[in-house]
Amino acid sequence: MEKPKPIQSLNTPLPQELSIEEFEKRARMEILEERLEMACWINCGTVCICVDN
Amino acid sequence: LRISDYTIHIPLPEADQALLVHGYSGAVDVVNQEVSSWISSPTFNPFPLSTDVLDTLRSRGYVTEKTADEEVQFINRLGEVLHRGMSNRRGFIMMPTYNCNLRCFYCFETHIRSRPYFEKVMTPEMIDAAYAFMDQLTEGEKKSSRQITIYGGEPLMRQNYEAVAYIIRQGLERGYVFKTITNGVDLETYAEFLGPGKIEFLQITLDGPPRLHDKRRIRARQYGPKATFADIAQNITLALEKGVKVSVRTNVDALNIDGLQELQAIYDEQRWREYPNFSAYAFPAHGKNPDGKELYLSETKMVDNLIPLQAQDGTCATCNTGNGTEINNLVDIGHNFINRFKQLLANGRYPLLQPYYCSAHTGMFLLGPLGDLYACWDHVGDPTCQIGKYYPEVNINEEALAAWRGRTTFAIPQCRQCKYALLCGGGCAYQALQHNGTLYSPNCNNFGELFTRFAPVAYQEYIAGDHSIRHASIDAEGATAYRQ
Repeated sequence: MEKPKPIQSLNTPLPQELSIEEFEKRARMEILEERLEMACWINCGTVCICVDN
Repeated sequence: LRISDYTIHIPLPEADQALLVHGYSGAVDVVNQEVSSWISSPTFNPFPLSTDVLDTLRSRGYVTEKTADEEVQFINRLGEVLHRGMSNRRGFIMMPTYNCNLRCFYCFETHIRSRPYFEKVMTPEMIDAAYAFMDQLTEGEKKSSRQITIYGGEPLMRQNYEAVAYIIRQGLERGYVFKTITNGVDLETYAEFLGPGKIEFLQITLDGPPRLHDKRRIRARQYGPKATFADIAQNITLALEKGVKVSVRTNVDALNIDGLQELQAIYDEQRWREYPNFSAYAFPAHGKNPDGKELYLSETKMVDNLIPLQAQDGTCATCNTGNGTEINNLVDIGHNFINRFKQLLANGRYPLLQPYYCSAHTGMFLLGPLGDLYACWDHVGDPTCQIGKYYPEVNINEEALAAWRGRTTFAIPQCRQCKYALLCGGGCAYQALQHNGTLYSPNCNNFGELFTRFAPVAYQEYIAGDHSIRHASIDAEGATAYRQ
C-alpha cells in the first residue's frame, strides 16, 4: 500500500506571496462575485435572508 | 521562520493524522503524525522533516517569516478588503407591525408591548415610501434574484391583511419574491400568496409536542384560545401542499429539550418529512423562568443533548428530510461549522473568509411600521437603536449606521489576533452588546471549540464525496431564536 504523503492539500489558499493590493486586484472579482451566493449563505450560518441571493 | 499564530491544528480521531487550517490563507491540509507532532513542538534548526514539507507548510501559511505584528497587520488589511467588497450588497426586511397575537414568555420583543406604537400597522403611504427607499438603494442592480423578508411582530396576523397584501402585490410588480418569519397561527388568511414566485419560504416555530408547545407559544387573550399547536400544524400542511419551503424551528431551552424526540414523531405522523420542501431545526432560546432563572442552553450543550437522540434511532428532531445526514443538521444550531469548513474547500476557488458576522455589518436594512430603519434584527422597535427613517422622509443617522456597518474583526481589539477571526466574524453583535456593553467586543460563543469539534466530521463527509453545503433553515445570527 502506498504510504500517504506527509501533507495532502485540500484546497487553494489565498496566495501568500501577494501583497494585499495585488490580492485585492486579482482576487476581488473571484471572491466577491463568483462566490456571492455562498458569501450570502455564510452571513448567518444558515440560509440567507439578510441579503438577496 | 516560525509557526504562524493563525495555524489551527486539529488531530483527527482514530487516525494518525491531523487537519491543519490556516486562519487567513484559508488553507486546509491533512498531515501525517510526523508533521502533526512537529507542528505541536516545532524546531527549525535543524528542521527534522524534508525541505519539500517545509516549502509546502510555508506556501500555505502555516510557517511564516512574518512577525506576530506583521501577521496582525496583514489579516486586518485583508479583512478590510473583504469587508469593503461585501458592503455594497443590500438586503431588506419589512416589518408591517410590531404587534403579535402570541405571548411567548421568552420573546425578546416583549419590551415593545408597552410602547404606544405596539399595534401600529404600516400604511400604504409608508409601504410606497419603503419601496422608493429600496428602489433608490438597488438602482442599477439586476432584478432577477430580488427577495424581501417579511417579519415583525407577527407579520401574518389576519388583522394585517391589507398591509401585507399591499406589500406583496407591490413587491411582485417590482420583481421581488418573499420569505416570511411567522408563527403560522393565521397563515390560512394568506393562502393566495403562498407558493413559488410569491411567498416561497416560511419559518414557522413549534416548540415541541402540544403538551410543551401550548404552554410556551400561547395566544393573547383577545385573539382566541391559548393553545396554538393544532392551528399551526394545519397551516404547515397547507403551506407544504402549496409548494412553499417550510422550515420548522424549535426554540430550545432547559424546559423543552426533552420534547424534541416526541416532536420528531409528530413530524412523521403529519407526514411532513415526505415533502421535499420541509425541513426542521433547533436553536437555543434565551428565556428565563418567572423566578428569573436562566433557561438558556449553550450551543455546545444543545449539541451534547441532541447527539444521543440521534444515536438512539439514527435520526433526531432537527433533521432535514431528504438528503441531509443527521449530524450535519445538528450544527444548524448556531454557526454551521460543517458548512463553514466545506466552504474553505470549494474546488478551484479561494476559500471563503469573512471578517464580519452578519449582514448587519454590510448591507441589511430592516424597515419598521413607524418609518423606522434598523441594521440588526434584535434591535427593532427600540427608538434608541434606529439607524434612521425611510418615512416620512429618508433620513439616515450616519453615525449610528457607521457603528453597525463598521463592526468587523479588525475593528474589535480582541478579534484582531484571534486565529478564528476570518472564520467566526466576531460573533453576534447584539449578544456582544448585551454581555459586554459594547458592539465592538467579541461574542465567541465557543466558536473555536465547536469548529475543532466539527471540522473532522466535515472532513469525513468531504472525503466520502459529500461536498454539499446545506441550506436548512431561515435564520439570521440566531436573532429569531426567541422571537417567533
